[in-house]
Amino acid sequence: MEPDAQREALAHALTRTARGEAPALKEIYERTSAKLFGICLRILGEASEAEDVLQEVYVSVWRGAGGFDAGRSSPITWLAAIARNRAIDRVRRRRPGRAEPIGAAGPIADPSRSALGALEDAEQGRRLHDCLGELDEPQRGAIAGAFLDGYTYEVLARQGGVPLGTMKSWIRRALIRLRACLER
Amino acid sequence: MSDLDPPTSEEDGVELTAAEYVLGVLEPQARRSATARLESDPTFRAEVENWEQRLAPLTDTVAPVPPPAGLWRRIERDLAPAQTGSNVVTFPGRRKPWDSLGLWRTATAASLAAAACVVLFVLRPATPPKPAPTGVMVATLEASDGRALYVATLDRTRGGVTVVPVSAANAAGRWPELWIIPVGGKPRAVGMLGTARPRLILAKGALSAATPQALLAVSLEAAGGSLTGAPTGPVIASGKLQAL
Repeated sequence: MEPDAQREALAHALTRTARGEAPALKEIYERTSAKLFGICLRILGEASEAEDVLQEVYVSVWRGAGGFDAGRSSPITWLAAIARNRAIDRVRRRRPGRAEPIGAAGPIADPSRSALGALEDAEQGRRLHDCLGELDEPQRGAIAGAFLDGYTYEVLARQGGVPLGTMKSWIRRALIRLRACLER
Repeated sequence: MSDLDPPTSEEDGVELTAAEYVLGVLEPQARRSATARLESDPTFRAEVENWEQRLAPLTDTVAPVPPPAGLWRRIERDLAPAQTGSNVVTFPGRRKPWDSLGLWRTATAASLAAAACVVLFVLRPATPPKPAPTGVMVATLEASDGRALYVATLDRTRGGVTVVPVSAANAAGRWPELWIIPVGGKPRAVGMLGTARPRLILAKGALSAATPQALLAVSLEAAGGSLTGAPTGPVIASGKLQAL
């Protein structure tokens, strides 16, 4: 199915879900659960927690699908945002001092470089790819690490081997440059 | 915001907080205030939506992973009271033992194979059920104490294997490497695994050796994998491939 047709089908299913049509929720699940589960697993690193979060996501979609506004957001972006936010909330609720998942350690630059390759598919992705490409490598890595892996400033600073304050200012400057570039 | 890089105007401050919220880097207290603000401050909400749109393509870089087959039933059970005509009885707040990860840790390969069938079925949106394609196999990779460490779904036709860690392996500073051992043959390297994250490995050459009853095994190796072409470290998990 073409991206536009997919988007339309999902938006339609969300509208039907908001009207209380259960089969529409199933359709949304079938179309999106692998993507959303991938996002949750990436942030949480544990299958059981990611399953719990995914369950919460679809239950909340059922209960709050009325909050979707096709004029303001693309359905998959809206759903992915719910999944990311739930997963991040969950990871922040873990008891303090718990280490991030094994495999989360290591330099942040490499995963971001490979991640960027996949962005070249669609127009919007290409623009983000180009604008991320204008950032310095440690900042680009930190943005991808935060967004995709759910790392806090503190973890990013530790991984990058820089003080917390430096990481905060890197990311804030990177965000400002990113917005300026995307709006050019 | 904080001590650093004070925003030059209130408007910038709102936008930067929105961006930090979307990125997910806010400390828990600041994140809670931001979540509350979403409800009460339309300007802030609009900035958050803008940033969601800007960064959304990054989620396309995350490999999709099919959730376990039982998950949809869990959701359905949660929602059953809302669905008229449903005769599913729910016990809010309680989960049946077979929904939990425990299943994945103790299940037999046969039940996993059945579950994987359902995964494949669920993955075909809006198409009538078809027989499972040939060349798709699953394996539960268990430690010597019977604990399942990984679940692998292998597609020989496409030359790929998705390996999901189901409980933490103690890698002890080394890196798990996946091997395939054909019936009566020698181990062939497939690729490096994560200890906490699912991984899709494309290795058409090695996976051409995949047949039912062939063994998948994980050994611990130095970073980058064994240099000898054969496992050098201890084997921490193994399991036989089963056809679907």
